[in-house]
Amino acid sequence: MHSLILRTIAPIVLHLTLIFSLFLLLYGHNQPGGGFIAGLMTAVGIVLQWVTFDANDGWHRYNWPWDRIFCYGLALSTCVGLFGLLSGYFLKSSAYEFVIPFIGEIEVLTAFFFDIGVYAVVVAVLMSILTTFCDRRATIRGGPK
Amino acid sequence: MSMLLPVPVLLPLSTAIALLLVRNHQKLQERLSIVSLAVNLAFALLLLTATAGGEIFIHRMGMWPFPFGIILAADRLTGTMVVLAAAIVAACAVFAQGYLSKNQRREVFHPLIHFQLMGIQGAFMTGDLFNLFVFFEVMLISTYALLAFYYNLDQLEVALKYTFLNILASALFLVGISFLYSQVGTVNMADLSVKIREIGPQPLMVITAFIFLFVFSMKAALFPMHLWLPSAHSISPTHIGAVLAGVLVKVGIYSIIRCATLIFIGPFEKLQTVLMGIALVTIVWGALGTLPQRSLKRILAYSTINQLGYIAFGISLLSPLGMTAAIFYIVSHAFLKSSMLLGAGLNQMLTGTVDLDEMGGMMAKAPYASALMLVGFLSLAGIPPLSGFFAKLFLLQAGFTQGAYLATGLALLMGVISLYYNFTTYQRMAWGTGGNEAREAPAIMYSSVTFLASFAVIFGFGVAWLYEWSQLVAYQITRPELYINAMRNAL
Amino acid sequence: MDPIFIAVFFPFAVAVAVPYFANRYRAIAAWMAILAPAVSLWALVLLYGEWSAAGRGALLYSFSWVPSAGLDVSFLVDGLSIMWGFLVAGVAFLIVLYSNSYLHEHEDMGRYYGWLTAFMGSMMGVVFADHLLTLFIFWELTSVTSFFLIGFWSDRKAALYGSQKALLITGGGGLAMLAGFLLLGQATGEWHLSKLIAMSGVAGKVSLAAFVLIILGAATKSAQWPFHIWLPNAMEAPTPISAFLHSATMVKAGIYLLSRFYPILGEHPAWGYVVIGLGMTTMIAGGLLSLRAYDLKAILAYGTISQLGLIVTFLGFGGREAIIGSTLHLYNHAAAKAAMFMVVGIIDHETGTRDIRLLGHLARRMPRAHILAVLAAISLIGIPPMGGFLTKEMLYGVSIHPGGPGEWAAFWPWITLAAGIITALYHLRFLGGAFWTPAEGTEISPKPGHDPPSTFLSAPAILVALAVAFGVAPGLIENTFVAPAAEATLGGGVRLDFHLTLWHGINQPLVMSIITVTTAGFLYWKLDWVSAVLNGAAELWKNGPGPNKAYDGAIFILKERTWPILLSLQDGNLRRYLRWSMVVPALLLLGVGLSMDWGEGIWPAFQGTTFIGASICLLISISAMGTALFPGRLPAILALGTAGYGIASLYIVMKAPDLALTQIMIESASIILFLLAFWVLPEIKIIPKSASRRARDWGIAIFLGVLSAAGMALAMNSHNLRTIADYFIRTTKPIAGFRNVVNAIIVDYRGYDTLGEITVLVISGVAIYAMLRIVGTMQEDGEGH
Repeated sequence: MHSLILRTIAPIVLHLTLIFSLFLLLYGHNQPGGGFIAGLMTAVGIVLQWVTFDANDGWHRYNWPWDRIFCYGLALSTCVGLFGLLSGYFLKSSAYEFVIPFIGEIEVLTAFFFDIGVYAVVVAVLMSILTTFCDRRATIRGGPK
Repeated sequence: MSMLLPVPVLLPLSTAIALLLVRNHQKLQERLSIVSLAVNLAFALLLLTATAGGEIFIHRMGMWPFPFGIILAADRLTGTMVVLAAAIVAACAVFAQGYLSKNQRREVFHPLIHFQLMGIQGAFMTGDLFNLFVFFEVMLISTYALLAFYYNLDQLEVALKYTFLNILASALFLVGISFLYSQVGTVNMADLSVKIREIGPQPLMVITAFIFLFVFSMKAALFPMHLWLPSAHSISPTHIGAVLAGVLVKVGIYSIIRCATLIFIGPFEKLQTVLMGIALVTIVWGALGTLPQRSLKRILAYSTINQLGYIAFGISLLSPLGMTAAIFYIVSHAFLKSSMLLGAGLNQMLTGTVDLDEMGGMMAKAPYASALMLVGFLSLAGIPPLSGFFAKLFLLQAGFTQGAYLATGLALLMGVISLYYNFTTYQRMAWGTGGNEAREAPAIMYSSVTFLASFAVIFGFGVAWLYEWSQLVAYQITRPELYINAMRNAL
Repeated sequence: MDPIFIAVFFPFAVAVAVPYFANRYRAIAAWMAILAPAVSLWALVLLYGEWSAAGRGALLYSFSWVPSAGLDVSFLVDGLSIMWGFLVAGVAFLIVLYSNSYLHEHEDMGRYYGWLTAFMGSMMGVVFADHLLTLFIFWELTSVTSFFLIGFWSDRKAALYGSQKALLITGGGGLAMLAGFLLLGQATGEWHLSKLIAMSGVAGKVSLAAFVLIILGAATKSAQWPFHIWLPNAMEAPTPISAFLHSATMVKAGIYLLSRFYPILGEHPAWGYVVIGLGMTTMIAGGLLSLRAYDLKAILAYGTISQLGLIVTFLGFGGREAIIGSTLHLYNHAAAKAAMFMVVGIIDHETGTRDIRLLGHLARRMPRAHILAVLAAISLIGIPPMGGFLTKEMLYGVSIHPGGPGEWAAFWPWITLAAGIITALYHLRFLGGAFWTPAEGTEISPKPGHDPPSTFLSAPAILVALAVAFGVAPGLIENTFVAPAAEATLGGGVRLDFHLTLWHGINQPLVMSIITVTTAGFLYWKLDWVSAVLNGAAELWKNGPGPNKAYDGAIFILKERTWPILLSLQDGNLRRYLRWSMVVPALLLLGVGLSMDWGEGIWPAFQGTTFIGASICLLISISAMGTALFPGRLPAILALGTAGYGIASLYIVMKAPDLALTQIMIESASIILFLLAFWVLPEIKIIPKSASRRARDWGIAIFLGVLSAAGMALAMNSHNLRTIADYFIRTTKPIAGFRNVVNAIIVDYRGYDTLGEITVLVISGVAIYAMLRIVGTMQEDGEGH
């Protein structure tokens, strides 16, 4: 996979994928999409990207503390639920309207933040599993680096 | 109280997240975990006292109305089960402290225990069938991780077995839900109850109920889905085996009770003979399975199957008396079996083995540990006045009252085998001489075993408390309209 | 507190305390233990006073235990229970006294005295219990404590076997009795013995099953044939235990039960047949077996069985004379047999053996023990002036004019006489073997033996003195204990007034007694003949069935034969488990399904099936099959992926873009995961399956496939009611504020489910992280193998 074309295109594809998945996340409540799908897409995009660069060692670039990130994601979703509990019902969704200069009035649902938590969990868990597998393989092949 | 209903799920969940985030600080993590388990137990007791009056608490998730959103409900049965789970999981976690301190993987142990607790308590709290499925998954995956905790080949194999079979049950669960949804178009338990009664016990509904019976049988280790249990009990780490035997199998039993008394009342009446047959085969299988074993834990595992059969027998009578006996049995057995598995672990700690042929002479070497086991064996064998005796007694009374003479007689006959295996196991363990030298064990392990074992005595002499409570529970659950109305009228 | 509660519960308190103190202060263990019978006796004396003052009726004491289940702890004090109470506590007192000399210094006194006093308490509970369940509780406790006492010397194999056997037979009989009690309680609606005795016509209401079950409890406990087999093996217990449990008290619990139920069930048509049959068989069989035993304790054990059979027989006859006679005989037997056991204990202690072939001429070396043994034996044989003579005469008298079924009345005196002769013979053999004749062959006992110190002899001496006293001055007990007990047994407010004397004049019973003694004397002179006949009979029956063989066979079958069957199913093989967990439920479902009436028009018409939909389904099935059939990993993964994408395309066809998108992403992610996992995992060799296994697996697959397809089709066709989906579609925009109903369901309507599912994801992440990144110890800490 050392094709120059692929190497050139891959980052672009990755960024496009990421943008598309963010779009899926943000517009999930109105159009097909949502945190779950977006998370999967992001993760798959990242993997394709690293495989393109270096199937064996490409994962090092993405060896982030994913296990913490999924905790934060789960914590975020839980907190959104707890926020609902303030008004008496767990996960009670509420809408807030903001006026942002130049853009106008936007409506934010608390459920949206729940969705962001879902997104974070999905991405982080998948990435954690994938990097862990690669780490394991590296250990088996030549001891820890 | 209604507002606090999500606590049994949220507290373990938040604790687990927090524990994962502080996992590099071992002391802090341990303390936090134990404190959280204590708070959880306190809340469970609060819930129990709150439900005692007969009120059924309802919490509508996201404020969505019945029957569209997910609704949590807590009646007396829920209160009872949550207390069981909270107490036993806490005792097992404390027990595990006794020998976990040097293991590198301990940093994920406490989070996993809390996730497991969340799954268990979530399953007890929910009033929604699909949500029950979700919590089954939470339970399944965390149990998988805990079963394979030491990551040696035996345990991995057992964990895989457990997972494969339970995934099969999960798939069947989904099939069952889709059958149900296509027939009545709802997943809320109370709503299901109403609509299933509306359309009557049609053949397809009976089949659907039967599918759910199998699904929950896998969790409850009833014939024919009981095959995974012995190895999961005996090869897994002790405290996990104890949670499995004490609480996890009871989740399955709990679900069957909900099916029989709430969701599928009509279909279960049609299935009564089959259910009774399943219970009896389970009783016999478990009893016979104990006889040729060498491993103490394996004997306890088969005895769990045997006891679960008795509980299922109580349920299969489908009468308030039978339910009372089953509830009594559940509580009694939960404390009893978890204490015995922990006791077996304690003996393993002391002698380095669970092989009865290598044990021997524990009575002289570790008098207190073997006395704790003795209480367990006596209660398990149904020796009065310990709780195990009354559990069997009430069951027999219920069976005879129902006129199920042959079935009850068979259950009683298996009591002789249970005498045999309990007493011979104690003999092999405690009597004689020889066996390995006994080492020391941390006091904390003794105390958690003592805590759990004491209930065999408390519910023996104080049988009236538990019996009257079981009656109250049975009174409430055999009147499904109470549950349904509470859901309907919830604010 | 009422004395009855002290009498019953104080021994338990001692039982709990003794082991604790015995570990620290060994010397006081015995003195603590003797408190239990002493205090109980004192309480009984108080109780006796209370009871006499109340006119010797029935006194009831109870406290509520489980009111909602109608269970209370209640005690019935009447003539019968008072008599038994004194018997139990009195013998217990002597036994504890005796044990102090018998036990060696190093033995675990705490355990011994703990279980002993616990047994005593249970026995007190049995004889005083009023509620049937209270009775059962104490009854079962006597079996359990007996188990621990038989196995006191726990390093002996025979002790393990003996204790198991005793527990299984008596405990199992106890369970049968429980079933009988439950049936009795159900039939009469009454759980209190006092009320049942007062109730009329109970026997008519009780089914034969309940009757037999209750008798079974009594028969197993009292070692009636064929349940007698546990008693000889129970002789592995220390001798004081044998004397206490297995001759004087526990084995007599069955007798107590029969006496207690005599006024309740005595009218039952089966009473005479069952009870007399049981007793007679036991009486003869026990005696004959005793003649073949060589162990002194075994001789006594079989003798006890025979005597118990005798008492049971007379309870079977029923009637005034028989009840008085058997009640009195209880006293005589308890005193004399316990004394004999204690003498055996002394012999064992002093010579190191109990085998009559090794023992000889002990009369010279142990003269005092010899005298005690002879006196006890002649009481049991029935020679004046011992108490035994009195009762033997009474029982011979009854056998001539018995109650019970009349058909065989002519045989009863002869059988009783035969039993009497056998009894006399085995006692002579006992005395001869130990005290009179020389040892067989050249082997001699390990120690020569000599009379023990007086303290050791005091307990048997007291018992023998009692046995003499019962004969010489029966007035001591006849109106204080025997008459009230017999009154209570007979029930119905009978008042007895009788006067017993040793000398009745020359009558039929006396003649029978003389025949007994002379015949036994003759047979003892020709003991070789008797042995030859018995050995010949035993040789003939060598391969025939017997209760011991049945017991051992049953245990063998349970332990060795059932397991292979279970193991063939539960062998740890995951594939088998999976097959089993799929096929058995499927068959059961099919069975239930076929047994029901489904009615007409249940199958869907499959209208609206499109070509494209059908082809996608075909593709999915083919890929699924490919997953199973392709030999390599990569093709299998790809085939699985194809099936997944096929499902995604089905969603597209059904216009569900969210689902399709999700499915596609899930498939991609799982293919990547699979590839990575297999990248890490080592290659494995796939062992090809045999043709028959393939056929079986195909069969299972097709069967399950067809079944689930049929189920799905049926479910599709049964839309009956509106679903909750309408509500979601209606309220997504106005209430939830979403336009995408699927996402609204995920994050809002059923956000709680989603929270659960992402928790599942997190757990799996944690699990995989923990397993693969943290190099943990592979052993269980501290639990290592």
